[in-house]
Amino acid sequence: MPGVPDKPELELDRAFVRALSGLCRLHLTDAAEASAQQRLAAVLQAFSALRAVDLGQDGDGENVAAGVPLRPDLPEPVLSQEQVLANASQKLGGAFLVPRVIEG
Amino acid sequence: MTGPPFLPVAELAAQVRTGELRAVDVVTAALARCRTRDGDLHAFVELTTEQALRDAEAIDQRRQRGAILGPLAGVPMALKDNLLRQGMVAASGSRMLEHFVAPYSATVVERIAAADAVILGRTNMDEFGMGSSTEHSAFGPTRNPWARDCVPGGSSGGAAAAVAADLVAAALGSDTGGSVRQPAALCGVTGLKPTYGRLSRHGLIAYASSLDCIGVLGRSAADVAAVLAAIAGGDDRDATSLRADVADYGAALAQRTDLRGLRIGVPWQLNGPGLDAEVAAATGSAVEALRQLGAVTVACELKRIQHAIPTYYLLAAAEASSNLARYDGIRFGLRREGSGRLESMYAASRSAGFGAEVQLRILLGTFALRAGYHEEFYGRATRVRALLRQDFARAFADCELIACPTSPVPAFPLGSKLDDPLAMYLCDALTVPMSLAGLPALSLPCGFTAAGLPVGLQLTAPALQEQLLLQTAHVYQQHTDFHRQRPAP
Repeated sequence: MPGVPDKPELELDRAFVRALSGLCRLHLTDAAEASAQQRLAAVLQAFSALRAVDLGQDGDGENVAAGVPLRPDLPEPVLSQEQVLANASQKLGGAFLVPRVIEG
Repeated sequence: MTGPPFLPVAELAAQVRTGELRAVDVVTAALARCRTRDGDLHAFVELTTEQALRDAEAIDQRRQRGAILGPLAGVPMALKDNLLRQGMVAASGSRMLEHFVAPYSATVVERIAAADAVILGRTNMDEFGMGSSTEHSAFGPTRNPWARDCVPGGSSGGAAAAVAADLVAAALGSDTGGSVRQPAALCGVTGLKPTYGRLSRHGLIAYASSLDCIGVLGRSAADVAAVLAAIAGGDDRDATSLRADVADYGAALAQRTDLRGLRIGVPWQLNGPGLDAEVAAATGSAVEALRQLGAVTVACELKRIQHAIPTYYLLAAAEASSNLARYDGIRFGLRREGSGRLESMYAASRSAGFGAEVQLRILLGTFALRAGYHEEFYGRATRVRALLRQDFARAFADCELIACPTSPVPAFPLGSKLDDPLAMYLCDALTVPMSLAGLPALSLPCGFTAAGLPVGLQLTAPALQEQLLLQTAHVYQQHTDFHRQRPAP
């Protein structure tokens, strides 16, 4: 990946931010990209203090509450096809309409 | 003439149940106040006037037919814009969902409706809950009822402003890192973030699922208790909701008339460094008042608390980047065609639908989860979260509640922090630790600055101790009148 920031300094260049926005499925204008680069760099620089925390042995603690119940594995009522499609901006014949994926 | 402020929630509902008050009169007066006062506040993004009047008339008709009405009968309430109500728009403050019509109702919405509350509309919020000022709403900012040039806090700023301005008797918000408590403090109302899982998240538009909590805003602890009792409890549609017993929070308030013997921890890390001087003075006086009511204050330490902000923002952004991946322009939400290819359509839709702050957090979250950085950022933040939980557990070994300010600063001028995301994130410094630990916490009005801006005191309890939080706040409010003071119309 071009311009991957050097981990110790966390300096993000424009190419890195552009590649990152691609992973996010965002298309940033030049101005938005420059703003995101500056803001992201400032935030990550401030947050880099986290890398100095002594995790010790306590840092392996459990974060998920024990005993999360599971529902019975049984069919339950679901939204109707009409309800599922109601908020789609484009639909056709009971299906979501998407741009052509396979060329030809 | 738009009528007097509301009676306390339980009293109002009792009078509607007996017929002393008609729900339709209560709701009509509330809607009139909304029309008169919300023009410049912009607490609401939509008033569902006709539906509210139909609901109120139906409640009155059921009473006339002899039906026993619910515990929130005729109580005018508002929903934050990220709570689904079947057949109504829920936009989560975003252009992306501006025209999204909810196909079903959130569990909490079903429950307040079953309790016969009347929903007046949906309130403004920072887009997808990402903000501390309600300025990141795609539909324009909300103003603070106490000072129109200041923010109401966020992200539930519309809900807090609506309660503070007496537009509704209570409101439901959501709190991921302080989004109920901080606006409650900045608007001078009472706001509760329950234990993670105490309220079902089914039907809440997701931001960061391991942190998201629905919360309640009201003028007093008694009002919050009445609403909480009606909506708390497990839900098969949310596997993370807790099946623990639900107390009659309102009735339990009378069980405590003073705070004798209650041990309240005062962590120095949250009660000194970086605080606005007037906030420190007001919350210090409030802690002294708790002591006068019989509480015993003890020093305590939350030794890794300074790491809460980066931990929270990395985890919340990581979860948001995943949760918001669903907005692709196909199944729901805004769609832009781009160059006509699928990937282009995704990017065009998401770039047009999401605001700058949401895009920044998606970028941050994707970075934190990215191969090569995952362990160093997301993984490390997850471990620090566990340490913060342990710090709270150690503190609660010697006390029953923890007290600190809700916000390090009072309401700040509109626009003053918009260009500096870090400055905005620091507004949450005193609320995100409790969110990371999944603990219940409540903000209550405890004073005013010289400029007349409200200050909030935050009380935090061990998991599922909402009753103790509400009782303590209620005792305090029986001896103070900060929660009764209202902003000028």
